[in-house]
Amino acid sequence: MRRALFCAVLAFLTVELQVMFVDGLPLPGASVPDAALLVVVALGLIQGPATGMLTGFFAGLGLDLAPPASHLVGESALVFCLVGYGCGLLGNWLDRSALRLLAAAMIGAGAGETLRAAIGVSLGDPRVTLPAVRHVLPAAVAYDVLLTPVVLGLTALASRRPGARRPGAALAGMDSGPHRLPARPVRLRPRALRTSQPRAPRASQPRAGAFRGLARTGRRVPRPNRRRPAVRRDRARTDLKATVARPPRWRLAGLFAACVILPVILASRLWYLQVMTGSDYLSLARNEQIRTVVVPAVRGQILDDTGRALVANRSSLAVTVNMTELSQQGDGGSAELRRLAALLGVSDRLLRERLRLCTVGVSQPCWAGSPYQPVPVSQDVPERVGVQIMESRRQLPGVTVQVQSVTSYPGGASAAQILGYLQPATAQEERQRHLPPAGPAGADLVGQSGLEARYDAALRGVYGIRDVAVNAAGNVTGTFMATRPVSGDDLVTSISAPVQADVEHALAHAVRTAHAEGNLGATTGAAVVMTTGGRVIAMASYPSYDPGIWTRGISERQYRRLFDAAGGEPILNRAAQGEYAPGSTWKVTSTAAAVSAGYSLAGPYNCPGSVNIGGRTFYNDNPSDSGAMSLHAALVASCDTVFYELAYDMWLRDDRKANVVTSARAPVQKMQKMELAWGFGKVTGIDLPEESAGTVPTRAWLYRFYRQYKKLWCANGNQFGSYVQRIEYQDCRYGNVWEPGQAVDAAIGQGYVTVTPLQLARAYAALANGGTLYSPRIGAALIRPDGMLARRITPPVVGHLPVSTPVLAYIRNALADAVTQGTAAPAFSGFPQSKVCVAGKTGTAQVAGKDATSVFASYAPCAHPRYVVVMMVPASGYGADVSAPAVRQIWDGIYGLEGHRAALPGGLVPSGVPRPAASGPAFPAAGRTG
Amino acid sequence: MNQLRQAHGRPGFAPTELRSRSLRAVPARAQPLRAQPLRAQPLRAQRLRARPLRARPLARALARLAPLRRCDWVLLTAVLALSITGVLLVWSASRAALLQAGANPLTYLKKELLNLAIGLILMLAVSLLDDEKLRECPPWVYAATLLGLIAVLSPVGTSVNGASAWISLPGGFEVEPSEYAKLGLVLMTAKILGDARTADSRPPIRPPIRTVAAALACAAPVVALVTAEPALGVAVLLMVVLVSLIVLAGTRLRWLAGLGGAAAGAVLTAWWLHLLRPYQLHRLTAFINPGADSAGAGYSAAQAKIAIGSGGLLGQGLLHGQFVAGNFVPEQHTDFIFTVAGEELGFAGAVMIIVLLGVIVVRALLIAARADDQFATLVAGGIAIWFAFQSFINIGMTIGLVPVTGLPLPFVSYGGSAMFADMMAVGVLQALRLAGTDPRLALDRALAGPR
Repeated sequence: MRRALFCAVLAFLTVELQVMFVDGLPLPGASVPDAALLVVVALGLIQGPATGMLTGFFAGLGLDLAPPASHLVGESALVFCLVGYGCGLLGNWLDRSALRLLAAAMIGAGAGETLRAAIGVSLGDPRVTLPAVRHVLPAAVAYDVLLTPVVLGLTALASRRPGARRPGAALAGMDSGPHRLPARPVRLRPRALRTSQPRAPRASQPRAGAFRGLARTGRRVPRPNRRRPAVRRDRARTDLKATVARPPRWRLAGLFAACVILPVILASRLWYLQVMTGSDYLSLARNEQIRTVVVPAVRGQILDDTGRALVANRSSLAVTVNMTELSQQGDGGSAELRRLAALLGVSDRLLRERLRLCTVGVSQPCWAGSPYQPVPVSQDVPERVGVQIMESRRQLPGVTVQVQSVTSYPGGASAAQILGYLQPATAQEERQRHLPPAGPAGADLVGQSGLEARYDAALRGVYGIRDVAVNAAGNVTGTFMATRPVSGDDLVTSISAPVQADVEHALAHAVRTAHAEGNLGATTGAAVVMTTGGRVIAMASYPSYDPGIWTRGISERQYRRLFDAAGGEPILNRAAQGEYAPGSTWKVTSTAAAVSAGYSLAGPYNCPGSVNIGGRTFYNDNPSDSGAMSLHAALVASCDTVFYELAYDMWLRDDRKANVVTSARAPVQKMQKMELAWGFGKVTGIDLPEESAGTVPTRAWLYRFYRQYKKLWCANGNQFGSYVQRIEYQDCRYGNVWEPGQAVDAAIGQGYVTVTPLQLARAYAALANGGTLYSPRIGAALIRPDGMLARRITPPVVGHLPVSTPVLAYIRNALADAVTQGTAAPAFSGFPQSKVCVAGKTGTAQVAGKDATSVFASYAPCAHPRYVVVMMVPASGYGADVSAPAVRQIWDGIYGLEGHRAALPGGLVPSGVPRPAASGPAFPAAGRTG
Repeated sequence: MNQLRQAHGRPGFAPTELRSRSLRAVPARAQPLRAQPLRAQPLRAQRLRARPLRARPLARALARLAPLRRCDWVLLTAVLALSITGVLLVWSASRAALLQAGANPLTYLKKELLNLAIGLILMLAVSLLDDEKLRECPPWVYAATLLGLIAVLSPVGTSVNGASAWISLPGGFEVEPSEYAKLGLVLMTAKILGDARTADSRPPIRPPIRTVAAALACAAPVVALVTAEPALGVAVLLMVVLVSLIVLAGTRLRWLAGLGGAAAGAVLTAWWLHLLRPYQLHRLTAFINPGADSAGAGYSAAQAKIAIGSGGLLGQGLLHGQFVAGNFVPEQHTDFIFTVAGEELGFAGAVMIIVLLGVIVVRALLIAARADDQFATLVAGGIAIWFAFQSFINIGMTIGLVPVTGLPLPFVSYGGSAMFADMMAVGVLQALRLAGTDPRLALDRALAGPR
């Protein structure tokens, strides 16, 4: 112990000296002498290997721990330990002349520096690289050698203190006994003096005893005869004998040295791994054992005005099978599949079929996904069965029960185009909508069209994240961290499911009937029901499709049919995207335009069978002359010639020069200015992602149109060819001229004019509500999962008709008469007008080469209009024949007339926002308003 | 020594001619001391007679000179502490995998506890062997080991991980003879190198070359059989122990140099003749360049480093290691048990295990240093080298200091044979210690001098 203390104190002093004074010396060569190393070398040489090694260890440890040190702990300790021990051996072996000692010290110092550099390089110390060593090492060795005599002398002096016992001997276990070797003074004396003493044989030199003490720390041995010094003396004698008879004990001492050094190496490496770089390894470990799983949020539902679900999302249990794990079973999992089939109540064979991979020659059912992905084998599993499966997990390895969000459409084919559909997000959509990278279980489904797309952000909710612990085999063993998903909001719409059903039925019936009656072009159609306040109550497009095909996994054939133009492209929402000529329904805008241009309402205007304008003859639908009439009568009878002449007159009085050669900046003529003000020619801004703008032919539009098609017309046009070729020839030459014929055609909603059913509906709504033009809305409110109202959606006002109230009233009056005595009267004969007064206007738009587009636009009740119903069926015939009867059915359905059940009880829509229940039908809102 | 003890049989009696013979080597200066122990013997005998301990078993067991008091309690405490730590670590390491497999998570804990109990009984039994039996047993132990190693290569042996190192016994027990081979080799080599002394009337300082040759010849079949298993790690360990014992016995340096040269030649030959199995070479190259193959042979080493590094200063807590629970380190309950300590107990716990191992080795070395005869020195020293080398290699491989070899961590790794062999080695150490401090033999030692 005393030796250890001595060494520790000395080492501490040395390190202090080194760190506080020597290291700061500004010496050339980027190096300083290593005083600590020199002291260790000197002590080793003078005091023997034990002292050298211990001092070296402590000094090295001190240098390792001293503040500026950044190398591996234990590095210096190891080097110094070895150096001290080596020098001790060297010192024992040498006879101790001062010169030889000095030489040995210099060699030891040099060897120590080299060893340190070598170990530094081999341990990968970043500061000790080979070039640096080559640069620094010579200087360091030189300084050390220079300083060696000083340190050696001082150390020798310190060791020769009067009365000081040789520390090596002091701990050799002999100090307490009466019989120990005489303390040997350090012999820095002339060789001549020493030679007088005969040299003992080498084996008896204290190098044999130097370590014996360490090996024989006498006090710790439980001595049988502690109180009997005789035995101890006896033992001491044996020691003496041992010097003669024993094998060299230093070999055992070497083992002790290893016992010190090896743990130090291990501990310093552990310190480096665990404490210095532990956080790096911790993050490595976390990376390896944590997988982030995206937990999809339950998507919000889309509800109708009373809370009935149009799109329902409910949680259901799905059973999936991991085929990789299944195949690891001894029998390939067949026993397990039998157990699972019994639990699920399906046949073993069906399970097997669902699990096989879809390859060439394998028919449905089969699994089209990756074989490494869990295969869903059963959806909508009863909770009882799910629990059973989870309980018998040990018998069913690889079988998992998951909660899945299942989308269903309780309304059948209702409103497929409005609702839209969900599909897995593409990589681009993931980036755009800040979605997590594609996770399992449909986390990445996004709305692709319709309301699902428009309100996708609100409906989707916020996905949750689960950091799960996995083991080396990839199995989940626990959860580190989890954030719960937040369910999406429910979207309450103003759609009324029964009205929607009525409208779809009426539309389909109308189109099919027209088709059956010989109008073979009648395959499509659209209808819109909205409030005069801009809320859409129903919106139908024919042909339609079942939106359930998207969630059930759409087949290639179904997909092609959805987008097939020949099959009517059921994916299109014709109510907002279809552009049709409005026909005579357009005359309301022409009337308003004429009045605002100064023409009188009363007229009188002539209604001949035909008029000749600009070299072309324009016919009225009724070939006989109806005489003079007011605009009221013209609207009721739908007299085209009245409007032809009005349009021609307006064309004549308009800016004639602008008509000759149109340009992008040509002024808008008065007639079209009115039509634009009614919201035509631009999108309505409804809350659907897809919408068409329709066409209002202004001069600027004509210019762009001409620019676009000029080449085509000129290529195909022929002055003496067919009818179409002659027109194209004309268009090629004069296509950019706003001709009177174009103005005349546009006045009755033909020619270039196209509108969407939605635009027509909102224009009639504006007409009916006194002139306010809304941007229609289908969504009424967003409701959070907890039932709180998140956002109320109201149709914004986007404009007002530039028509005075009396004029609007005049037109409304005419439209009411049109139903009772005008063009729509046959379709509405026997309609209970006394209960619900319906006003409307038929339209029959001639389209070149096709049957006429049948249009009927109406609103009710006449006095205080609440609803607008518009239907457009292209290529089907007269508006009064096809659309008007269908619209009559719709009115019947809304108000419950003529044997229909009232879809809107009392003719009112719910006044408030319904509170949707979690599942099942929601209870309706309390009151109803118009 | 045996002759000596047979000659007088009762302590306290020393024939004059023996005394005089033993004193020949003593320097003249020490001669006066000789009279004192002769006087002392009767005194002690009187005291023993005065207190009839035979009547009081407890008192006798706790008496100053009783084996219970003289055995190495430090060693025993360290071994117990290490073994219990080992049992806990084995529990933690095997728990998750057993749960995953649907088995009882306590299976390995129970097995290892049973191993520990059997091991302790074995240790007790061996430590109670008297000096004479201890010196007579090595040839028998050696022969048994050799038989076991041969049996392993016969159809009786079973193969695990490409090495047929086990013998299956009925009842689900498995024996790994290479573990016992370590003890057998230490005992046999010590016997050969230590007995050389008694043959001469004046013991030489250094064993003669033919003794060393005999030791090498005895060791050769053991090493060869272990290499054939193949268990490269054990073979290297056996060779290290063998060479260390030869060095420790005091063989002349020039013989050692020759031996070293021969060994180097053998290694080079093995390299050139491709005697190493591909997977063994792979392990070595994976160590030299760990990044090259992090999925294969370097995987264990890389994962072990991550596990240990993630422990930090104080660890994740016993049974709370996530990396352990994930079974990311292969063989983490046997060869890589130290990674569990590293992750769950942190730097503090890992260093504690190193310190405990160091204590065991140092106590073994102290027993070697205090032993008065060559056999005891060599046996204790050999066991110390065995434990020290095996621990260093095992821990070193988990922290990337040495290549991955299949050596368990003494007292900590799961495994019955290893535990039994280690415990029997501790028993041998205790027996040596008891013999070395036996008062009845004190005079023999005093008179006979070192052997």
